[in-house]
Amino acid sequence: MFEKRLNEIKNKLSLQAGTVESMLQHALSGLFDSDRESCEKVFQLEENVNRLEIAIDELCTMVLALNQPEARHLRMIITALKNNNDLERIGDHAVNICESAMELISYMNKKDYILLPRMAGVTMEMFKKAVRSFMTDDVNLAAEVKELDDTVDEMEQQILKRSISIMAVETDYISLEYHIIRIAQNLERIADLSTNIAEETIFMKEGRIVKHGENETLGE
Amino acid sequence: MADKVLSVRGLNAYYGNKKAVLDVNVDFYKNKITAIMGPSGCGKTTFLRCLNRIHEVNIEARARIEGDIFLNSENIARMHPILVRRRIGMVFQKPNPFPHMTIYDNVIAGYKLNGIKKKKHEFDTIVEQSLTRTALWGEVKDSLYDRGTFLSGGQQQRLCIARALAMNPDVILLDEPTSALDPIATAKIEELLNELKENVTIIIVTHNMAQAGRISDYTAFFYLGELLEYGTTEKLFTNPENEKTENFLTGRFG
Repeated sequence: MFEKRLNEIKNKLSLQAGTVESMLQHALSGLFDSDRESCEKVFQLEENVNRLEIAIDELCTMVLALNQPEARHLRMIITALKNNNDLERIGDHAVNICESAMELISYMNKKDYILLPRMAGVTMEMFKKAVRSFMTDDVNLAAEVKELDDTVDEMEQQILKRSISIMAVETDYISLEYHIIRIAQNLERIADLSTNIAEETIFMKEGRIVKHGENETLGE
Repeated sequence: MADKVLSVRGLNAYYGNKKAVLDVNVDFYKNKITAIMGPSGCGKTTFLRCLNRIHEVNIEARARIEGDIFLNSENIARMHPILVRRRIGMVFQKPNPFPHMTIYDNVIAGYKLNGIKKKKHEFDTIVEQSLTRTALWGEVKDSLYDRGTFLSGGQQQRLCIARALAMNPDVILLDEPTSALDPIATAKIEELLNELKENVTIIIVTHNMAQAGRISDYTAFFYLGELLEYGTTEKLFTNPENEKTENFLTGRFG
């Protein structure tokens, strides 16, 4: 019964991760291909993600209340709860990106994203690796995600500086650049949340707390 | 919702003038495990003993009941008490195999003591099936004609469950069946109950909240002889409606 519940939680999280990945891919197509339909798809998928988030929360609550899990089982449930929350947040950021992407469609010929596609590429790579590390208990993959986080932060700073300098001289482009900044910020948050998922994987597998530059073993 | 096997209506149980169970109304569902919980002295064991008419046997304590209990719509007060106990078996807190009997005879004790005759090969089948269902066959098949008392506590308790199952009951009542057992023997019994519920309805009194959470589908919470809350274990353990249930579960009394 207990094992069945744990498997159900992992299966539902896998489905959630798949849905959020699909949201991200559609959001990026919406943005870079100016594809309105892709954006609509993201808005639809968000409802599935919200429903699944509640279902996973409920399942985790049941396991905590009825099975009193210990040790690795306890860490798995705690991780599941946090990752469930992080995945839903990533879905929200995909929605934000789509909202800006829709605004940018009218700027079709004036857009110059420069670093944005690269930043999106690295963020997507982080997300996929983070989810895979969690699903396969792979702490090495989780460590790779953490290393990429600084790259994304630097890219965001570069985009921010460039957009500000454009806005200072080209007032017509303020709205365009605002949305580019907003997208960069949302990508940075997705990278951050992916890092959280990776850090939680290390916590789940090894009982080590590695966030905020710490390296502490639980209970010691 | 599953079918009702056992229905209790307006049940009061007394010891002399003292009321131990107060106006309980409840239905127990087929092929489900129902846990009965509550602080010491809340009447849960007395309630359980009413369900197969063992309570009334305690003549010295002037035990009696009021109200009705129906087994598949049949009022058990109108059935022969021996028949009631065959259809509603019971397993007690302390494993109690008959010490003078072999393992084989312990399993078919219900038949022997009631003078129910069967052919040897029929008894052989009942013994093997009952011991297999309690995961004991492999452990004792070579010592069926030894006395049951050499078995470990956990094995003895599984033998008692096999003895109850041998009568092919509709319901099995268990009164804290694992409180005298270590965690591994307890886990085996819990696993066993989970498998047995496919064929029999189980009602278990337990002091162990974690155990109720792990194995039961429904939970009934008793307090001062009253049934205060009854519902799915999932609901009761995560969001009970009664404040006393909440206080009991969170360790504020009991």
